[in-house]
Amino acid sequence: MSDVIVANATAIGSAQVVLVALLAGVTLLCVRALSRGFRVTLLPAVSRMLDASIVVLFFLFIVLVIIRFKTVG
Amino acid sequence: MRVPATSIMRRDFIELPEPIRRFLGPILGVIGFLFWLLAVHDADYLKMGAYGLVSILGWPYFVGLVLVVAGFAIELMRTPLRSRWLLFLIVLLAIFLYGTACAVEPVAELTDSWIHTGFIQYIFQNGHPLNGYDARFSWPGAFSLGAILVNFTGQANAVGFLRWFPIFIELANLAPLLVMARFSGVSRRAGWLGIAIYYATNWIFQDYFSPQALNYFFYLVLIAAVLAIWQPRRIRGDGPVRGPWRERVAQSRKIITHSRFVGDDAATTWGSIETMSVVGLLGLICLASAISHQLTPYAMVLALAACLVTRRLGRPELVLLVAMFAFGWLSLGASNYWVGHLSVIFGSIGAVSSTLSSNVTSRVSGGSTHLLVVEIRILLTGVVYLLAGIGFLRRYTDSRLLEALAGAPFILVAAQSYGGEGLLRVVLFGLPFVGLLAASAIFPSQSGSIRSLVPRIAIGKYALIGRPILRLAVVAVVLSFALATTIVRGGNDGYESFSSGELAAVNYAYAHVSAGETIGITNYYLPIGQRDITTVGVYDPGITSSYQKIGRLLLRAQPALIILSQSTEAYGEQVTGYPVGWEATLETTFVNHGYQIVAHWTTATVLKAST
Repeated sequence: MSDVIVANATAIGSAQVVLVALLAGVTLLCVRALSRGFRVTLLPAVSRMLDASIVVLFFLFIVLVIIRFKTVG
Repeated sequence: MRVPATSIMRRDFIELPEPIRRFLGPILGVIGFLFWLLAVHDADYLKMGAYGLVSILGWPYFVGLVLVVAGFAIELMRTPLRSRWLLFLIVLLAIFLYGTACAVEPVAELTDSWIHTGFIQYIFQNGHPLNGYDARFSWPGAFSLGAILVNFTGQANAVGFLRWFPIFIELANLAPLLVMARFSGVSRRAGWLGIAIYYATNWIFQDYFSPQALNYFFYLVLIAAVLAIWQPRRIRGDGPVRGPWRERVAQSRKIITHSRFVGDDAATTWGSIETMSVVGLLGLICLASAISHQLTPYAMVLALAACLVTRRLGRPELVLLVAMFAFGWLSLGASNYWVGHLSVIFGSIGAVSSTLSSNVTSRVSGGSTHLLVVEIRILLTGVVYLLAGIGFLRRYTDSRLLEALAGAPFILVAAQSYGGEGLLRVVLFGLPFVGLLAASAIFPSQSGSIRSLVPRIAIGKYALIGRPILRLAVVAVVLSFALATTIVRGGNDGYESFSSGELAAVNYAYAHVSAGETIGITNYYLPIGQRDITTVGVYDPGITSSYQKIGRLLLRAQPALIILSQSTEAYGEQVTGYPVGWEATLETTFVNHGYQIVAHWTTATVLKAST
């Protein structure tokens, strides 16, 4: 991880970090939707990890958006 | 003894020959449409008064409307239902309510639709949105689509799309409305009546040429697709539960379960490829919406969440996906809008009373005619929600989906006043579902695991008169709503619609103003803003306590040209309370201060500053 990203609040809320969190979240949501939609059998542990990752990433994304509002706005 | 429905119908129409009896509904519809053509032909736009559109509609309009509604009621009570003719009559109803203004008024109404044309023109000419010019440019998706359409159709600008857009988009909305009515769990009759009630009560006028009209269509398509794909899975009971209220509590407790939130309580009969293809398309629609409009994506999030908790959404990922798109675009794409004035977005969070005040109380103002129109709007909305409340009490159902979808948009009011328009949008987002609930007050569904909250009305020995009474109820409800909407939807047309002369005056001004100069107007109500948005400024002094102040502000600003018009004058008289003929007084003031009249039409005058 680049130390620039975590240098300060502005860096954390910078456009790149929000964008990365957004893309990561969307990717995980697509993976979950596709695996459930096409009835791909996942190990229960994998399924739980996927769900937990999505929830964590979603809240991280919201926090980053708020930080960006605070620092840039 | 139960009397067969068909025999009752035979008694109703015993006097009529078979072909007429069979096609009475459509025949009445066609005759009604002929009356509409006559009404449109005879309407004289220039005679429009303070009550707006209704002031120039003669008796043929109302006779035609009565015939169409009567035809719809007759067709709706037939057994079996004939979808083709019901659709025909609904289209006629939509033409009456949404096509009349398009047909009667010489140019497109509402200043915003002309301004949106200017935004499209900029993108068409430059290939990108204009940053920092207007908040709406921070959500440029719909304008970009407009520019593509202008290019595709070989037009010089988007003005040609404006006039008939309301009826076009309302008829486009009919497709998702039909799907929603079919899959929402109400009876078929209630579904058709719900669509009619939606059309008969949508006075909100967000169907003009605008991103919100396109996004409202997206919103309806999204929900219609979700309802078509997923149905509520039957929930296993916990054994016999004594008492109706204990049963309800047991049902309500199941809302907060893991299986509900991961979408396992919804089932589909569609194949995986079909389902995922449609879900993929819905994702793209949500992305398009996130970059096109400020409010609709959040309404989509709430609606999808409502579908999820009522067992009608099997892919919960959609809820988070739309939320991430919406917040992502707000954070990244719309930063030009919020940098420096975050309070506009977050200032009204939780301030429900001030939001309600700006949405309702501040709107109940103006002259007596304007006040009457506003009061009828509030009454109409209140009555349709009251009827929906009765439908909620009377219907049996498998899922409280409609109630959730009708109520979910109200969360938006707690978050945003939306410039005093939030409540209007909330009503609009809930209206299709409120319409279906209102229809359930007349035709409640009689089956479902969730029982009605009031006892069933046993028709019993009154079965013979039950059907005519229901037919009368349909006519009374749809006709009264449609008449009220005719009055209030066009109630502002006295100043929101424009004459050919006013458009000619604006075109004259654009043709005779140089780059860097300004056109002055006395208020917002002109067909202006459709071109040269970066080179020609438009100066509007805003609402002031007196019209003399408008004159002083315009003289101080020294615009190269000033346009005075019938619509701007009508706004001053009807809403802000200026005296009759106030613009004539201003015209004299401007002439005495170095302006001269350079062009004049019956409804507009252009003055130019002497060099």
